Amino acid sequence: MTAEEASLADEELVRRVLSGEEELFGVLVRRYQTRIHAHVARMVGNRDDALDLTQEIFVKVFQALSRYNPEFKFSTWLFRIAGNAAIDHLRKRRPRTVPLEQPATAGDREGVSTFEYKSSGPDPFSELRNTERGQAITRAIAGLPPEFRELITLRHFTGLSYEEIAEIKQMPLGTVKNKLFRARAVLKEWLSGEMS
Amino acid sequence: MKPCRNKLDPLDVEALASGAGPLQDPGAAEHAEACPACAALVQEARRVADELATLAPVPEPPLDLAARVLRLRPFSRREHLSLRIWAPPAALSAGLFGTGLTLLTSPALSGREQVGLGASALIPLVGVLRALARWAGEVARFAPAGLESLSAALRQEQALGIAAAFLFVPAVFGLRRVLARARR
Repeated sequence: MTAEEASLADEELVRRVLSGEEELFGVLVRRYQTRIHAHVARMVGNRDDALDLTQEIFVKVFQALSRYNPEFKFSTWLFRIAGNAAIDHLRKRRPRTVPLEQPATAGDREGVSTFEYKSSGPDPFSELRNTERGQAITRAIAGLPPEFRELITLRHFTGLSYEEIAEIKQMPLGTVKNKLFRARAVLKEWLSGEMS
Repeated sequence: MKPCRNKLDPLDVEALASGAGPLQDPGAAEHAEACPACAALVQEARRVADELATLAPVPEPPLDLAARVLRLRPFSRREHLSLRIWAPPAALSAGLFGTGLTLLTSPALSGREQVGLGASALIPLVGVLRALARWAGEVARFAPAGLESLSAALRQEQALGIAAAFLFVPAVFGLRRVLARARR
């Protein structure tokens, strides 16, 4: 990737890909691959599935590029496609999700793969406790219904604003906040034992 | 700590913990400031949000992801219509077809050899036209002689052999795409 290509805006890259410079699509992939992969991995909870899905998402995006409307941000459109693909994947896989009204038990979330929890100190006991808490949070997130999981991922791991999430999900801002806070309230309840 | 009789709505607790405005009760922020029990709830919610932020990052995707995507992507509409893509294999195929015809009609070859070469040229089509048993029978009858003639011609004319090898170039490109898709 040249410095000139790296400095091009997403919309300009899309325009040039559509006008025949297909190899420039690689610049867009490199620009977003880490964020999309992380988002998908948090959603599906499995690294191999996430990698396949990320690849599939970018191929889908290439196929649909002519339908992209440059009035909107490319990243918004990309995250929308990624979220829909991840939700489709989860539906096909029929995950063990738990209704939000009902607290999840450890048994409900068995078999959900987890990511490691970042350790901050050298103390092995704290390290173990941190790992366990991290795993508990990851399992709790994996137990949420896909739509709520996506909102948590977009907000807390991808770091998007409520407004950006509302645009991606094509939902009113109030609905996004409502669903997100509901999901977090449930997470807090599930984790209350872990945090104390 | 005294329990609160007018406990905050859980959604407002989360909203205040996130720094957003309350969704249910407009006076929730003031209430949380005045009530230690509700302030503790907001604090706890904030701790969960902080815990989420400290989860270890997901490992990076492989460096060749972009190359893989570019290899797997379908041809664009422009590429489908582009002469630049189809012209070289089309010209090569036409050239080879023309060369084959010229060879077949060359007076240097005997009638038997011409028939044999013609039959051997049909061999690749057998796979496609398997259903047509009559054709397959004819080709099978002429194949040994045809292969013999082809082998003799290739031994005499190495340039013809090299040209024939070029036939595989478009096939290799196609095969790479098919294999890449199968791996996916």
